[in-house]
Amino acid sequence: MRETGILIMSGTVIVWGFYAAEKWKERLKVLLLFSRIVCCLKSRILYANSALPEALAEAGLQYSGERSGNLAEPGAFFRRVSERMEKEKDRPFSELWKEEIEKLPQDLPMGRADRQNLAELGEALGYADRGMQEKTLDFYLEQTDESAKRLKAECADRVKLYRALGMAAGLFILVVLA
Amino acid sequence: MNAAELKEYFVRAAPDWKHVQEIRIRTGRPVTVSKAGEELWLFSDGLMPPGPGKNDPVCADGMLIKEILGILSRHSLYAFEEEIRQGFLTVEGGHRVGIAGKVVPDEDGIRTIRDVSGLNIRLAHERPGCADQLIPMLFEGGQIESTLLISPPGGGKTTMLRDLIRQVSDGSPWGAGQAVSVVDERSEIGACFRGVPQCDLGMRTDVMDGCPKALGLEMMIRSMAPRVVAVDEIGTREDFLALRNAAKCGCRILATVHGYSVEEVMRKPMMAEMVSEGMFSRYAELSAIPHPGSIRGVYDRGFARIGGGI
Repeated sequence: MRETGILIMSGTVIVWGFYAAEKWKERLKVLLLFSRIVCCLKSRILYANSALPEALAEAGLQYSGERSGNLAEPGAFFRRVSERMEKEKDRPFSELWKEEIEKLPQDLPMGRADRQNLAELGEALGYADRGMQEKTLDFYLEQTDESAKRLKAECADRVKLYRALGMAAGLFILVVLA
Repeated sequence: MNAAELKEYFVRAAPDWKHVQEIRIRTGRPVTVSKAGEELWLFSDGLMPPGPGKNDPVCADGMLIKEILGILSRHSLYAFEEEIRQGFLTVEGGHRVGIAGKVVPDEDGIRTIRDVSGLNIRLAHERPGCADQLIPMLFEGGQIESTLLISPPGGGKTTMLRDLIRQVSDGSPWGAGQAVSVVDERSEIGACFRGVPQCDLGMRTDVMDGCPKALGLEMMIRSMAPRVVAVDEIGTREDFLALRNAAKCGCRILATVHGYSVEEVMRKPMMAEMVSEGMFSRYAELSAIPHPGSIRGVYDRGFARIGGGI
């Protein structure tokens, strides 16, 4: 019985290490997904001249597909904003955007700065001319790109670290308690 | 005051929207409503004609106008950039919003209009059957004749054109249904939303939405083989050339133009050229009095009066 308990404890810690490493990788995937959706949004706005509700819905839908869990969240976020724009026509867009950002799951793997960038995107979208839309979207994409580069550079080391820490902690428990 | 409060005032005033033609909103001025040719002011307790002893009408301010523009454009002003340059935007439902403000010029003309100080929301009305009285005079041998509808702003020419298109497309006791191509430059005829006309333009009608008339006519004739083409508010040299080409291709034309009478329209050089070429076989003068769409007179190609009269 005691041995089983020790094995479960050390196993859990090892799994946690792998889980943390996966979360780190998922953070990069989520960020890249937001970036791709904004690219798609840019094309809907600049080339198809779609109004924001349509542009958001189409961009969101394109990246919802067969994704599940956290990877389904970016597409769903854009679709939710679009739906609320259609339902609450009198409300300013920036308010709806901000409210939907606040509703994003707390455990969605996104850095604070990335969330902030996304929130700021909503403050300038929809106003002024197409040139302004282009600059706003490009600014967000540049920031996301930098963030993604940083994450990629850190990713390999972090994944190794979390996995190694998990295994080391698991073995430590095994040795100490056994 | 914000847009939600203004909406509340309108809900309280509960106007008969079927007869409301325009809502005018100007900075620092009372909100006015044009209903069946009469100007009414919006007060906190309803719509009333302006007059002595009536104080505190509901007045607009710059922020309200900005907010309304945001709502009407579905928070996508960029999507209306081209239209705003021309001083208006057509919103969902085909309603046209005229804009007055500070023009920002550039080397090509107008870059945009900023500091918008006045809006004129012209409500689009679909009145199926409004052309019933006119249509028998436009057919000859079961075929619609090329027709020019003439009326001043607010005279109901777009509403009349819409019903004519519907009846020509669907067919009527006067002629079988025919393929109609509509080039709806300002999205007023069909009130297209996501490419689909919100107004009934008939079962054999194709619509090219938001497209310059001259360009759209050329494309439609090439690709859709229409028997009848329809356009609203003609007047430029390009329109003239495109309509001439359509007529040469054997299409019948349904068009509208601003004006009070055939004589006045004939004084416009471009229109005079169209008329002298015999591009139209029928001219219908419409008036806003006693109600929009009233037929003042219908004339044939020799300008002989063949009907109408208020």
